[in-house]
Amino acid sequence: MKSCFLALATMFVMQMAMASSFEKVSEKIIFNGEKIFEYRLSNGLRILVLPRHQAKVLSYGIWFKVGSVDEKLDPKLKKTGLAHLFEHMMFRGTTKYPDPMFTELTSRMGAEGQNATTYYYRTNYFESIPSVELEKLMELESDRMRNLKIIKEGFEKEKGAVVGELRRHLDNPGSVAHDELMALAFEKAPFHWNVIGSEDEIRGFTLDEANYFYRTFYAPNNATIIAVGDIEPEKLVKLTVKYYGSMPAQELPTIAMPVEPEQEKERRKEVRHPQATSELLMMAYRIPPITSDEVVPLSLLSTHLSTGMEARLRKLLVDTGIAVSASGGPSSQPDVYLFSVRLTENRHADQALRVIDKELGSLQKAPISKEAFERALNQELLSLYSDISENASLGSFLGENLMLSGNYLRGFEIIESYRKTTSLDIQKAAAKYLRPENRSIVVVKPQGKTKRASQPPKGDKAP
Amino acid sequence: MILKIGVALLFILAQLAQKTAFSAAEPPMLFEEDPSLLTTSIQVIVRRGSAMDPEDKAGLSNFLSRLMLRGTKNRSREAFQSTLERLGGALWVSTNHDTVVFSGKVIRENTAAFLKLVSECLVEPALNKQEFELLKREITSEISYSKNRNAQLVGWAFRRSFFESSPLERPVNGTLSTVKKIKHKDIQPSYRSHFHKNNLVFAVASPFKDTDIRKQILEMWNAFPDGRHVAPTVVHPKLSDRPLLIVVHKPATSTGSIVMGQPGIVANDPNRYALMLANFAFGSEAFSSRLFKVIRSDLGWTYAIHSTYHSLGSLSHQPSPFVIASTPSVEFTVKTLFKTWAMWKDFIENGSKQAEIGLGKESLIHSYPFEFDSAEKRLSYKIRHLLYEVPILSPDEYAKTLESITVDQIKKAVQKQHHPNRWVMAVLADKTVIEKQLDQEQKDLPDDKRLKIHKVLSPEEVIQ
Repeated sequence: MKSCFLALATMFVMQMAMASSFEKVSEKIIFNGEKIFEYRLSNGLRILVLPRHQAKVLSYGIWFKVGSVDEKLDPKLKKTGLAHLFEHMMFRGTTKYPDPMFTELTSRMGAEGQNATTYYYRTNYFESIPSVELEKLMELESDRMRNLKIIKEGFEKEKGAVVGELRRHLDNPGSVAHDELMALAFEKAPFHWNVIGSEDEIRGFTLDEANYFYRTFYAPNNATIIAVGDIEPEKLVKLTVKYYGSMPAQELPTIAMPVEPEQEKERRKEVRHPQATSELLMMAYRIPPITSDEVVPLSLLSTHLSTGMEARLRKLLVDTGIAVSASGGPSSQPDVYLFSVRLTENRHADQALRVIDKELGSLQKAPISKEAFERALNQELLSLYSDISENASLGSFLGENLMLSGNYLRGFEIIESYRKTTSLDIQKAAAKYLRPENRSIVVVKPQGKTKRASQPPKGDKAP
Repeated sequence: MILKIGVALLFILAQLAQKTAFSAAEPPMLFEEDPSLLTTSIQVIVRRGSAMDPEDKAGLSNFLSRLMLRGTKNRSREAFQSTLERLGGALWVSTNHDTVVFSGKVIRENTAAFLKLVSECLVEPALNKQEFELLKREITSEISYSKNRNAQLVGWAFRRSFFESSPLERPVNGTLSTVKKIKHKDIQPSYRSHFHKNNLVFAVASPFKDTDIRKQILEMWNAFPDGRHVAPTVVHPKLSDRPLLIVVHKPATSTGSIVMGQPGIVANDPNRYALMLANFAFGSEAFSSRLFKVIRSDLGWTYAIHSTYHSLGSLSHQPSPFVIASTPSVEFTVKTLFKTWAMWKDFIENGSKQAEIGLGKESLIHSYPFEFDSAEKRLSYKIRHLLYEVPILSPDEYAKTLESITVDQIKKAVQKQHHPNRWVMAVLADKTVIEKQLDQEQKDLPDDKRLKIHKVLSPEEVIQ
């Protein structure tokens, strides 16, 4: 299917651009009694706030609904890697706060865990600060969202650092296996390309492309502020109106995700990697998006297969000496059930594959035991409780759920879905999706001693 | 400078400062109660680590502790783990040179049953032969697999040279040859050396009052025999005044991995805060340090670069090496090494600038609340205070301590602790590439002034 570009209604955009008022959208109580408040400014900026006053600190994050998938599908870009490179550029300074003032000022206020990440479907920026510093931080964050200085010198230097990051990624056989697997499993969907891009793509991005990306996607109507900690919702909203309220909404491209054709037969690829000293098996079964109800039983199956000392894959592959580690579960994105097995030296991927196939065959014929189901459910609870125990991890939890599903409460609601799931549901889901003809397989093998692949030095200047 | 920290923190620190001691009547028990917690966490710290493993059986402490998770006298491994995990619990163990730490977490409603299982695991481990053989194969496979992990390989190569001929020379997990020598008959004596009353510290963060938990812990502790704690040998590496360069030869890497280190400090070193400020300015601060600004931001040679005094994990009885680590693109590997070294020499000679230290003071003082903003972090601080005498300062004391340190004092502390050239440098990359780059970068230097490769190790040699 062709990807298409649909403009939002002009009226809507103009209305957004008038800015500076807000509405309270909801006030939700989650299972442990804590409250999450949701607001939206008239320019479209969403705010989520969860007050916690045990310590005078808070975590602040801003999430943009843009990732590598969007750039690849955008007819003005058609490349991958700019979303990630741009995430680096956001630390390069503005007219008011030139590089390195942003990081110096946030450091001065005692910011902890400051960083940013880019993935297929979103980009986020985050830090934790003493709550008394909130207003200054919001001034800085809003300034770089609107007034970033994108100049050639900084852009080219940052490309050098990103190429370094890419090379580190490519030196890791596991990362290469994942890239190759997604390229094999998806022919049309942009998951075919990795998030960071190729070296040629990174070096080839232009300032015009960077400016287009910034002006288009770093818009208030494409962003959500998430604050968890020592903050009253009304105060956060007031500050958001002050610092973000005058930002005009932007016309966001509406890009249809190409429909990936049904997979009809198994796909396989073998890769030789110079850094690998033993084999690695990675498999991807195509499944519906993680937000689909159909994936709920598959998530529980993942805990059954991969969590803890009693995990089935551990018992079948690690305890038997076939593998060093083994896991299987649904990815947040791309939409696959991903298996990853690191083989013991001198063991082969085919052995692991036979074991997994036999186990999946059993799971499709009979439901897991009541005890195994109880184990999976309570391990999910333990994981959830750990995820939300600290301000920063709870902020991240809410953000990921919002970006994936549009529902920041999904991570809590899914526990109820787990409780309603039965062993039979798991059996049915395994039978429906974990079939050989629905999977792609990549095996990474050591390169052997015949090929000389070391890279000679390429000049003496940084890009 | 105004300290902007709330009253709540003062209360927390007052609690932290309550002295917990080692006594014959009961073990050190550290608690953090927070009714909002959804889980109970426990740490059982055994004050004996890998540094005391027999030289030819390095990795024994790690082996023993992992074997203890594989069943008890009353339950098979499957029955034990299955019961634990059905409770919504997890139990894991980590070993370092000074300690073995069993850590566990469970959903709050199952706290009592979980603590019983922890007790069963520690007091009545099965330590059976069949699981011993399975675990031996698993650990051996993991060590072999490390050849795929460049950061781990270069770290081990560094450690071997830095701590040469000392108990810290070998990795905590042991090497292929030392793990091979561990026999099942070594396990029981090792268990007895680790698990006696005077070696154990308990720490719990929970939503519940400590009364019931304290009772359960006391029962557990009373089941252990008496014993004598043996203080670990403190290692002070003696390094040459010329850098020692080790290369781990891995062909075809597109990234080089560099670890360079000098002798560091113990937790209660009198110059702890001065050196902390110095390190902030030189390399520890993620975006504002000199290393990041010059080598990452201005030159674009590396994605990651930083320096730390915590290279052996949290500060301990051992003076943990001061380490600078980076991962430059392969063509910039030797350039990064020389540039880092040159920046260090300049730092030693000229010290830091007032502005850098001012930034460091503000940053560290304002981020102090993050040391205590959750029950688990407060517990961790209490543990470090008890075991390693990490000072517990109120926010005011902390601010005053840092603010009183001058740029000149920092320079003197750095000069006293460190040396411009006393480095062990470990680099993982293709050795022929490194040799060419060393020639190129030093072509104008006389032979006797050049940095030369002291030793080339293969990945196989590193893990042997």
